[in-house]
Amino acid sequence: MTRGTTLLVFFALTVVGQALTPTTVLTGVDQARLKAVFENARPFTDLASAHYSILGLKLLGAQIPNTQDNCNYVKSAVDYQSPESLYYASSATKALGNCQLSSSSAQNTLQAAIKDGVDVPTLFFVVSALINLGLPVNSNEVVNALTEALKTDDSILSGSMALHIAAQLSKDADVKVIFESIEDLVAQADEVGEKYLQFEGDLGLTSFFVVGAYRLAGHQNKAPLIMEDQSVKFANYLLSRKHVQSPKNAYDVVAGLSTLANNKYHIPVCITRQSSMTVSSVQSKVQVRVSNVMSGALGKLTVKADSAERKEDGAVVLSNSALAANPRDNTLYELDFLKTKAGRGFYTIEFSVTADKPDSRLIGLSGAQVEVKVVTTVSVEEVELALEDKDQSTPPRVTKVQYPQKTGSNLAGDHHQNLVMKFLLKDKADNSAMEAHQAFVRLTNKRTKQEVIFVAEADDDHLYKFELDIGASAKEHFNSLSGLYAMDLVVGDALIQNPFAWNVADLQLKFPEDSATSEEKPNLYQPREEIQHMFREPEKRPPATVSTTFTALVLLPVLILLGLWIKLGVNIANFPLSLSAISFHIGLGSILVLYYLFFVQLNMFDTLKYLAILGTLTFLAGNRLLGSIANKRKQLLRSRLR
Amino acid sequence: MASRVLIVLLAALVGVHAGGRTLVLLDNLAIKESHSVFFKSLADRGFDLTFKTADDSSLALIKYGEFLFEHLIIFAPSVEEFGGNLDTSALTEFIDGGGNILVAASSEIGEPIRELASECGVEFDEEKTAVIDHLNYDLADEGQHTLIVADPENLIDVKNIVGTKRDAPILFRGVGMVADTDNPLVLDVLTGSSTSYSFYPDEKVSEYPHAVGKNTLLVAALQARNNARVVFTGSLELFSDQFFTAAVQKAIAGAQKHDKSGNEAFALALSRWVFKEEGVLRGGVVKHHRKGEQEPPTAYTVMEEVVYSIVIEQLVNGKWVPFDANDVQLEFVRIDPFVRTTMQRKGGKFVAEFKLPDVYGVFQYRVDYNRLGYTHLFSTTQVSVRPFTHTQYERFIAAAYPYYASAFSMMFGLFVFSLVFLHHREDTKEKTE
Repeated sequence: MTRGTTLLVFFALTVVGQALTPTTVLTGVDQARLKAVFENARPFTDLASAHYSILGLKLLGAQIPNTQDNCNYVKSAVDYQSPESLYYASSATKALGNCQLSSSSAQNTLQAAIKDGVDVPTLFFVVSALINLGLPVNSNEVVNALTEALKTDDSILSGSMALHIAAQLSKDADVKVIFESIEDLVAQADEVGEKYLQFEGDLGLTSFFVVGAYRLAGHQNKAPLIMEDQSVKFANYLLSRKHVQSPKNAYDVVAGLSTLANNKYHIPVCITRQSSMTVSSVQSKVQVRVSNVMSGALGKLTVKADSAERKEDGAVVLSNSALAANPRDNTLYELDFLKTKAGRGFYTIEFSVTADKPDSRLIGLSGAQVEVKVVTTVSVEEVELALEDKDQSTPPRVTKVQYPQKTGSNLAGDHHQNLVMKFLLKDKADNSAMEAHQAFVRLTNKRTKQEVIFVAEADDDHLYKFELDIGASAKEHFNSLSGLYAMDLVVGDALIQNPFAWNVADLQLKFPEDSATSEEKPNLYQPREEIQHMFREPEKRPPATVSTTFTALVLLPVLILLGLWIKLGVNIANFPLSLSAISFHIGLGSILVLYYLFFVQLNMFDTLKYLAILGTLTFLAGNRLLGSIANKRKQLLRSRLR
Repeated sequence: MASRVLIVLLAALVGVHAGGRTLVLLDNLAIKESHSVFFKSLADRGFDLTFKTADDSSLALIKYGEFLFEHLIIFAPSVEEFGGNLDTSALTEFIDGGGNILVAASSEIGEPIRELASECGVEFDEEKTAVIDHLNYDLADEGQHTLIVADPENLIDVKNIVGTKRDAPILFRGVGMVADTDNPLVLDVLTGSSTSYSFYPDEKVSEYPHAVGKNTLLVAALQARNNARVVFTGSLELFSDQFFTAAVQKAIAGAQKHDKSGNEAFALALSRWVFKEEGVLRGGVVKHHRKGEQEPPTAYTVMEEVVYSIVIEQLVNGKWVPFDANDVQLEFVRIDPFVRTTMQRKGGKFVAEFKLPDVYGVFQYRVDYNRLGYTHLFSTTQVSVRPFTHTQYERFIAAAYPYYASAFSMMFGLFVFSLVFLHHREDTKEKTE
């Protein structure tokens, strides 16, 4: 339950006008978490975080693990020439106990640093380190140097450091001016939403100031000039930052809060709800924790609930009743809230605290508010399910359904009908009709799991009625997808203990077909369908036998020619054995072979080249051959004539 | 000591690649601490974070025409008006310029956030509303049932976006959204359960709620066409240290208790995705050539067998490593795709072999890889495909043999006839004479 209260912090920034008591505390869980933050700082990377981790654990009262390792680390990391480093180291060793720094070498550095013109931070480091190491400090000298330094530096950080310095000086030093500066410093703090008080949004600075102010007040034995409500606002701010994760911030939270939990002047009283926010017949007690900001006990107290008011209508159900102390835990107090016969609703309970032994330190004793809610169990009754014809031609068929059963009959509706459902929600506590925040009718397509949700509305008598025009809603809600739908009634409310989703019936819905043109949207993120290219089919050719036959046929005339010639007794007996005759016929044959080669492989230009050579030769040879044949004929003719 | 220097150097080298300049806009600086685990994780991953309050008057995303930041985190739900030069148009310009934005809202949502969301196709519900689920709320709820326990099964099934480890439920408290159904780029990263709805917790449900059932978006994401990523969550607390470490248990009897919510794993995975540490692809060397060759020709001829390969790499922990998938497709496109084939992965490359279509023209090899959670990979290479030259057609067709034979027989005839015609001797006549 601690988490429930801590969650409040997040929205708390906007919560305005709450009574001024812290709304949360640093619970055991929170302390354990911060402890883990300190422990996780190991292995240390720098002296400052080692110092925060060690001091934080010490403040939380936790065991510091590996004391010797820590001591060795601090000793190895310290720089004896730097007051700042010496401050961190000496604070850490002091917290560790049996761990000694070399005080002689530190002393030289530190004593030398107190001189004219020293700035406030150095002075703070020097004085703190000297005190931590148990070395003497000349208080008057420090006060003078501090007064000088503050003249040129009036920042809040320096002012807060001055508080810490003054708190460490001897009692007789005159630090009145510094003590009075607390008032001026507080005046510079920023207030957020009338709830928080902080410096420049800086957790470290705020915490540092708070610690310093109360430290100096304790030193001076005078109440610091911080108003009580300011003190509470500082506490609120520190508590609002309790989810920090770094060792420094965690230390700031712990240091500030432990100061506010334990000082001589102001201890804010925190009243936080310890039990669940929900109050029901099973768990009727409201348990609150009354503690300081570190959830520590405050001694014997009397806690009273001044009033309890219902948020909705302002009805006051309780006044001035005392809470019983829990015998096991002296910070817990209990109130049986249902004794008041409070009905369901959200309630704000206001508490006040008085200490049995008056203690002026306790502040914020009244006005603490805690919220609870009283929940109830709801029952659903008089459930009627009907399918009415739109034209009222036939009386509607009404089916009564009992929670939590599902109606046995499958209902089938089409677009000429209205689906009507009526039901009543009853508060089981007093059996009265009530309304719920959520009273939805959910129709789920059993196949596609698509959900369509409608809101059922209640009339003035809290009777819920849900009406669905199946035809008209087809396209808009159902995508015209006919099929089997599961019909559920979902009832829920912040004040209902038993919210439910009840499957009332299965519905067969039929929508007009023609409108069923819902196109599925293409999914951008899927692999797309593969495409194989369709190659064009080659044209069909005649079978090979046909062409073979015709090839044979076209070769036939040559054979016939040769056959006839042989029969006729063809010869070439006149062939002259001359060069021209032989070369002419070879040339002619070569030209024909060249044509064949052109067909098979040569290109036109090569062919023409060869043809030119062959053609010329053949032409010349042919010319002479024909000339010689002509001459022969002429001679033959002449000899005949003679 | 030397090895430490080396490690630092290595870390610096890796760091150059990872992260980026990031502007974080906050409602108030306390958010920096209440969400410190989230921010620390970003810083550890090499992001250079600059924290500003959202109404800081010096805000600017662009200076001298250049973007000052690569990423933007807006953890300022309640801002009424951004400071400086920042407004909705500057933010959309930032997205158009490739910047990534992570926006967390809450029930205190202000107008600028709503405007930015509607620019991106996400509609937030009104201020003061909250997502309510009376059946799935956490034990630590404060009474209004607004601390929702979101089941991991309502997460989108994309490991790049929501991570692989998702068994613990996610705590959510904040405002609901709905996605614009006309915007196909909006992804429903986390939806409410079917009993959830979004309304004013304190008011009677008098009108139909903005979002009901599974339409209620708790976390929505958008990857724009330029690969800029934008994530909207309705809950700022989802990223808080408190929710990261909180235990989760539904407030119904017998519900399983988880000691640690799934918020941290989810929020970190989401931030890895939105800031481009996850699901980032790039295309590398593209090679294409005829089968059996090495170099691309000046032009392909129709019907040739070709081989195409592309190197695709994925960014993993700041390094580019070969991408592994079996659904990368290659298209061969002339206006419309003529061929679409799935590529095979071979040694860091994706390879496809196919036969060019019998259509000539100017084509593109196109790899258009668009998957949920990955950046859009788009690579085109233009090539021309020409028809056959006259010598490339078929030469000796069986059906034409009669023509060949007749031509050659004519030539043979010519040769023989010339021989006979010129040299024939009519012996018998001579003798009788």
